Amino acid sequence: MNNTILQTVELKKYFGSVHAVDGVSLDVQHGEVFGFLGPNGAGKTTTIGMVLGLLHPTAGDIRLFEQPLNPAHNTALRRVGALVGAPSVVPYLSARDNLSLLARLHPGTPESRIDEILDQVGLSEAAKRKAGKYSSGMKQRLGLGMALLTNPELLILDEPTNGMDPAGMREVRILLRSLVEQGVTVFLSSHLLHEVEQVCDRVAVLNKGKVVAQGAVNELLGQKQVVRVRVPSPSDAAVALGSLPGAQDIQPNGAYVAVSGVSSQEVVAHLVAHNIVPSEITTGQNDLESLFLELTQES
Amino acid sequence: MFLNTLSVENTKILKRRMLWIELGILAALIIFLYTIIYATMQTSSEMGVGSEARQTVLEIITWPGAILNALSFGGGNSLGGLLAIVLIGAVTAQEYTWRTMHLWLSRGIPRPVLIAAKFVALLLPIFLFVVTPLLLGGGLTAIFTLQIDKSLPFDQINWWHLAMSVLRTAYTLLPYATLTFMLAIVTRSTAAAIGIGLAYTLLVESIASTVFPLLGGILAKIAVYLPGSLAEGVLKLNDTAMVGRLVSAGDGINTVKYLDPIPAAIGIALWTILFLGLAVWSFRRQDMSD
Repeated sequence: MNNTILQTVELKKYFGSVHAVDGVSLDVQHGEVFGFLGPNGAGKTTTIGMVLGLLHPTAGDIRLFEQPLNPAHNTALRRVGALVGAPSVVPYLSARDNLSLLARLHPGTPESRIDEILDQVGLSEAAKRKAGKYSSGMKQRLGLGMALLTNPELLILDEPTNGMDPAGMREVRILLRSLVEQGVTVFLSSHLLHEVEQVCDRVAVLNKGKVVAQGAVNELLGQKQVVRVRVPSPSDAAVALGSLPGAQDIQPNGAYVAVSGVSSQEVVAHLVAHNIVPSEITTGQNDLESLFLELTQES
Repeated sequence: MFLNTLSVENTKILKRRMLWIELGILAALIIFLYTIIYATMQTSSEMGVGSEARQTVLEIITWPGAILNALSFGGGNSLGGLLAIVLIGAVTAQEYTWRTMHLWLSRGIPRPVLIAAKFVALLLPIFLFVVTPLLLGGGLTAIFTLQIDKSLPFDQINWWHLAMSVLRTAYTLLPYATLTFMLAIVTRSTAAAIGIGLAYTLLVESIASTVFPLLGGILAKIAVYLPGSLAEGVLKLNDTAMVGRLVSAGDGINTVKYLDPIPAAIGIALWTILFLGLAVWSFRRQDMSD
C-alpha cells in the first residue's frame, strides 16, 4: 500500500514573469510531521495554495490520497484540515456558529464534536461571542479548531501559532504531538525553526520557488558538524578562522565562535598559531536555523 | 453536497444583520411614503372630494390599486431592487475579504457547487425585497381603504394573478441581481460590485432608455432590449391582470416601445444566463490568492 499522503511533482506557479513556485516536488508520508520551510517570498504559501485547490498550477501534478488534485477535482480535500494565513471565519457569527456551519458540510459530524473542539482550543467560554470581536490569538485558535473539526487525516498548518501568547504556542505544540500519536499526518510551515526541529520528522526547505533541501531532519543536520570554541576575543578569532582552508559559516556568538567544515584539531591549531588560545571546545550538529540560513543565503 | 452547501449559505444570509436592516429601511420608507400621501390628501385643499387629484391619489393608497402600486416598489429600478443590489454586492464580495471563499473551497466543495449554492441562496432575499413592500404597503393601505371606503374590495382582487405578479416582479430583478453577483465575483470588491451595479441601474439604463429612442436607429433598438425595458414588458402583465387600470406612479418620459411579455421574459432569461455564466466562468478560473 502506498504510504504517500501528499505528493507534488514538478509543481510550478508563474504569475506573469514571476516564478513563485518553480518545480517543487514533495512527498509527505502517512503519519509523519513534515516541515515546510523557507524565507518570506520563497513560495511556501503559493505551494500550499495549490495543494488546497485555491490556485491553479501553471504546471506539474498534485496527488492527494493517491488521487489527482486540481481546482476542478478537489473532493479529496474533504479529508484535509487546513489553517493557512489568517483564519477564515465569518465575523458576524459566533465561534460555535462558525464551527456549526463547517460541520454541516461534513454530515456525520456530531454536535458534541463542536463542544470538544471548543474545549480543545480553549474557546468554550467565548463560544457565543461574535468571531469578529476576537483577538488575533483567539481567531487563530478558532481557525485551528475549524481545521481539526472533522478529524482530518492530513492537517496543513501555516504559521499556526501566529498571534498566540507563549501559553497558547505551548498548547499547540502539545496538541500537534497528540495528533501525531493518533496517526494524523501534519504538514507544517513555520518560521519557528526550533519548534520545527523538535516536532518534524522530515523537512523541505524552499527558496526562490525551488526546493533546496529535503529529507529527515537528523540527516540534514548531521551533514554538517559544527565546532564551537570559547575565546577571549571572538571577533579576532573569527577573522583568524577566515584564513583557515575549508572553514565555513564562521559565526561569533557572545563568548564563542562557531565554525563548520573543519575538524576541531584544525581549528585549535590555527587559533593557537594566531596567538588565540581557546578555553573551551565543543563539537556538535548544526541546528536547523543555521542550516536554513546557509541554504537560503547560498541560493 | 449542494443541499448542504445551500443550507450553509442560507444560514449565513439570514443571520446577516445587513439583510434585516435593509428590509427595515424598505419598510420604514414604504410606511412613511404612504402615510405622507394619505395625510396630504386629507389636509390639502386641492384634493377636495370629487377632484381629479384626489381620485388619482385614492387609486394609489386604496385597494385594489394600492396593492399593485406597493408591489412596484420591489421592482428592478425601484427601492427594493436597489437594496437587493447593495445586499448582493456586499454579501458576495466580502467573502473574498474575509477569505471564507478560500475556506469552503479548501474543504473540498467543488467550485460549481459553491457558486450555484451562493446564487440560489440569494433568491430568498430577492423575494423578501419584493414581498415586503407588498405586505406592508398592502397592509397599511388596507387601513386607509377601510377608513375611506368602509370596506375592503376583496371581490376585485384576483389572488392568483397577485401571486403571479409577485413572481413576475421578482423575475424582473434577476438581471440586476446576476449583474451585481457577477461584478462581485469578477472584481472581488464590495465597492465595485455595488457601485457599478447601482450606477448601471440608476444612471446608465435610465439615460439609455430615455435618450436612445430619441436618437433612433440601432440605439433605439438597443433600448428595447435593456433589462429595464424588458422588465417593463413583463410587468405589463401585472398591470392588466391585477386590475383594470394602469396605476403605476407616473411613466415619466416613456419613449421606449416595450416588447410583449413573452419575448421580454425570454430577454430577461438571456441576460440572467449571460451574467451568471460570466460569474461561473470567472469563478472557475480564479486564483484565490490573498
